[in-house]
Amino acid sequence: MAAPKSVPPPTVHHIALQRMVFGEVDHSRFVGSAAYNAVVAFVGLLRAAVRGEPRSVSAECPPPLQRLREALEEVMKWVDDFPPLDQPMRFGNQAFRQWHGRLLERAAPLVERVCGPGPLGGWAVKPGRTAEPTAARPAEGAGAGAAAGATAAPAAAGDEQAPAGRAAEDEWASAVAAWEAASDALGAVPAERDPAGSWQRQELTEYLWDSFGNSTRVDYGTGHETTFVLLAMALARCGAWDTSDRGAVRSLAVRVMPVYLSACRRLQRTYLLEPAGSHGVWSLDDFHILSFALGAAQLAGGGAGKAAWQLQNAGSLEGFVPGGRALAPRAFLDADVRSALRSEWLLAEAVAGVCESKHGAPFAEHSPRLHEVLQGKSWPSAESALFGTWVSEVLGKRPVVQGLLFGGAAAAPAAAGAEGGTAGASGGAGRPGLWPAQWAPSGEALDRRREEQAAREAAIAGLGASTAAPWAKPKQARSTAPWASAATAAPWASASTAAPWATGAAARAPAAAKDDLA
Amino acid sequence: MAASLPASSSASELDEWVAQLMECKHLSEENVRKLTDRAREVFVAEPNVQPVRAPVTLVGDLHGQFYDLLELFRIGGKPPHTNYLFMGDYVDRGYYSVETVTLVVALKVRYPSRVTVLRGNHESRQITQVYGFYDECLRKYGSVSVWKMFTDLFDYMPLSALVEGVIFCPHGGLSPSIDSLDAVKALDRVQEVPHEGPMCDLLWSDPDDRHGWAVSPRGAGYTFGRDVSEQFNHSNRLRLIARAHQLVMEGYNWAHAQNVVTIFSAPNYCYRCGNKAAILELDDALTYKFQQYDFAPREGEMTVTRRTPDYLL
Repeated sequence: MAAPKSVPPPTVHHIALQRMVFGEVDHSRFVGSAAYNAVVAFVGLLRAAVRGEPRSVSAECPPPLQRLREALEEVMKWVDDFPPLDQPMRFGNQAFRQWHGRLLERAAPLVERVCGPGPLGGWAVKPGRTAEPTAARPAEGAGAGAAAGATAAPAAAGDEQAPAGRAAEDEWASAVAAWEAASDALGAVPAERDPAGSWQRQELTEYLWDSFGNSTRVDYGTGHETTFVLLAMALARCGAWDTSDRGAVRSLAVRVMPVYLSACRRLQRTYLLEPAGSHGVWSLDDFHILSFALGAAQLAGGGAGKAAWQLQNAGSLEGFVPGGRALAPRAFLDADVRSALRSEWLLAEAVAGVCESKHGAPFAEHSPRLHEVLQGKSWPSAESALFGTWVSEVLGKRPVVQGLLFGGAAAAPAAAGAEGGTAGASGGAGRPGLWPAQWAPSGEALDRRREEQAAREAAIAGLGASTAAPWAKPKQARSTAPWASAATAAPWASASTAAPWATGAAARAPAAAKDDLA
Repeated sequence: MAASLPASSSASELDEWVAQLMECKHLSEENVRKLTDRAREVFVAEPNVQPVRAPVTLVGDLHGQFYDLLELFRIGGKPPHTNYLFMGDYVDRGYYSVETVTLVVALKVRYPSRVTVLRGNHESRQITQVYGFYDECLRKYGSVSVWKMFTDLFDYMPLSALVEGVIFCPHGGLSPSIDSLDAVKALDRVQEVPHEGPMCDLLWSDPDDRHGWAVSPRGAGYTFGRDVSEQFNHSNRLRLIARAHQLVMEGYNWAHAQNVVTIFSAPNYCYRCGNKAAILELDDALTYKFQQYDFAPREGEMTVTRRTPDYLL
C-alpha cells in the first residue's frame, strides 16, 4: 500500500555505516563497550515493556512506529512482485536478489516517510543521568549458552505469581534508567550537527537494508534480526519516538516486531533463504531468537496466569483475577494451545513458526534446545535462558557481530586520516553516530574496512546507475545488479558452513566476510 | 581384550555393533574406544588418494541424519552387498551425529575393502565444537571423551578417493596449490584440518560460475571456475570430479559442463530445507545413475492421542 509514486532515486554518495569487528581482538573490545551496553539496555527496555500483558493491552503505536509498521507491510508485499525464479539452483532462490534490489532502492524513501520531513531531534545527553548500579553487565564474551540474564532489568520480573503491578513498574523504571544512561554513554546525537537530518536518515536507511538477510548469500540469520532492533534503537536516538513512553516501547514489541517477523518468515519461505551459519538442530532456531525471548518476557511476571485464563475462557480476559494457576511453558508445545493464544502471546506465534517450517521429526528432535526451554518449570527461567541465548549466540559470537554495522566516525584519531572520504559526506572525523563504535579498530581491521567500504560504495553507485533510467520498472535493474559480482558482497557473508577461525587474519579479500549469523 | 580374540570373533563383535547401531542405539564409550582404535589401524594404511574400484555408490553429506542414512541403505542396498564411498560430513547439525558416524566407521572397519570413508570439513575438532557434534556427545555420553576419540580418529581419514583412476572425489574441491593427484598424495594429512593450504582447500572449496580462483565466502578454501576444473581433469586424465559439501535442491547438481558433480545425501536438511537427497551409483563400466530420495518422516510426538493435559503450573 501507499505505493511510492515517483519518489526520486536515492542520492547516495557514501556509505554511512561500517563493520568494526573483524577479529577476536575487535570482538573483545565490542563486548562491554558502550555500543554493546546500549543494545543490551535497549532490549532490556523491550523486555520490561512487554512484561505480563497480552498484545491487546494498550499498545498504540506512536506515529513514527505506526509508519514503520506500514513500511514493513509494504516491504512484505514486494514479495508478490518478485516470484521465485524457475532457475537451475543449488539452493536459495535468486529472486531474493531482485527483492533486495528493490529494498536498496526504496529504503531511503521509506525512512523518509517513517521519520517525516525536516530535521530530526537527535539524542541529548543529560548530565548526571546514570543507570542504577546494575548497568548492563557484559556477559563474558562467548560464554556458554547459560550466559547470565541479558538485560539491565533487576532480578527480572520475580516469579509469575507475584502481584505484577509494582514489580513491573519498578522494572520498567530501572530499564528506562539503564537505557538512558547507556544511550548517553554512547554519545549525544546533536541535532545541530545534522541540520537536515541527512546522515541520520542515511544510517537508518542502511540498517533497514541489512534487516532482511543477505542478498549475495541469499541467507538470513539471527544477526539480521538484531539489526532490525538496531534500526528501532537508532530511530529512538534520532528522536523519532520517545523511549520513556512505555506504551510506545510496548507497541514496538507487540505491534511492529510481529510484522517484521512475518515479513522475514515470508522471505525465508518464498526464497528458501539458507539459515546463515546454522547449527542445525543445535540452534535455538535457525533465524530468530529475540522473538522467542520477548514472548517469554510477556508470559513471565503474571502473563502466564492471564494466558491460562484466556485459554479457559475462549480468549477473553473478562473476570480475570490474579493469583490463579499459570500456564506452563510446555503448553506451547501443543498446537491447539498455540492457535488459541497466537494473537495475544508472541511466544505462540514464534513456536508456531518453527512447527510450520520444520517437518519430519518430533519437536524434541528437530528443536531440542527450544524443547528443553519449554520443558522448564518456570517462566523467569525460560525467559533468562532465551535472553541469555541472544547475548551469547549473537553478541557473544564474533562471526555474528562482525556482520553488524556501526555508525559515526572511527574512534581512533589516527585512523581518521587514513579513512579518506569514506567516513561520511556530512560528517568527517568525530561525527556522532546512532550506534557508534567507541573503540579504536585494529590496523588490520582498518585495512579490511577500507576495502569493504569501497566495495559497498561501488555496489550502491552501480545501483544508482542501473536504476536511473527505468525507475518505474525496477525489475529490469536486476540484470546489471552489481552485487551479483564477487567484489561487492554485502557486509556479512555466510554459506552453509563458515570456518570459525575465519577472521581478519587470513589475507583474503574484504567481501570474503565469511561466517555466519548463527 | 578384543585384541586378544581371534579375528572371526572380532568380526562377530563388529556385526553386533552394526546391528545395534542400525537400531539407532549408540555404542558404549568402551566400545567406541575399541572401534576407533581399530579404525585408526585401517585408515592409517590408506593413502591420501584412496583408490576405489567400481561398482561403487557415492554418498555426500549426511550430517547426523541417521534415519535418512537407513533410507539410503534401503534404496542403495546394504553393505557389503553394495560398495560405498562416503565423502565426508557425517556429523554436526543433525540430531544423530553420534549414531551416524559410529555406524559409518563400524561399516568401514567391518568391510574395509568395500566401504571407503573420506574426511569432510566437519570431521574436525574446531568445526564440531561450533556446529553440534561436541554438544551432542556431551549430552549422550555425559563427557567429551567420545568426541575426543572420534576427532582424534578423523585426523587419519583419507582426504580423497579415485574411482577407477578417472573420478576424483574430494569432499570439497580443488586447491590452487595442487595441480596433480601426486601433489595430493604427498600431503602429510594426519593432523587437524589446517586453516589454509592444500589440505584445507580439498575439504572446503566449492565450484563457482566465475572463472579462475576466487576467495570463498566461507572463510576457508576457494571457489574455482570451469576453466580450473577442465584443466585439472585434462592434465590428470580424469573424467569427473565428484564431491559433496554443498546443499543442492535436487540432491545432485552438475557444474562446469559436467566436469564436476555435487552430491548431497541429507534430505530435507535440518528438517526445514525441503531438498531431495541423492546418491550416485556407478556400475563396473562407470555408467552412472543418480538415485534421489526424500526424507524419512517419523511420527511426531504431538500426534499421539492424549487426554486433556494439565498445562498449569
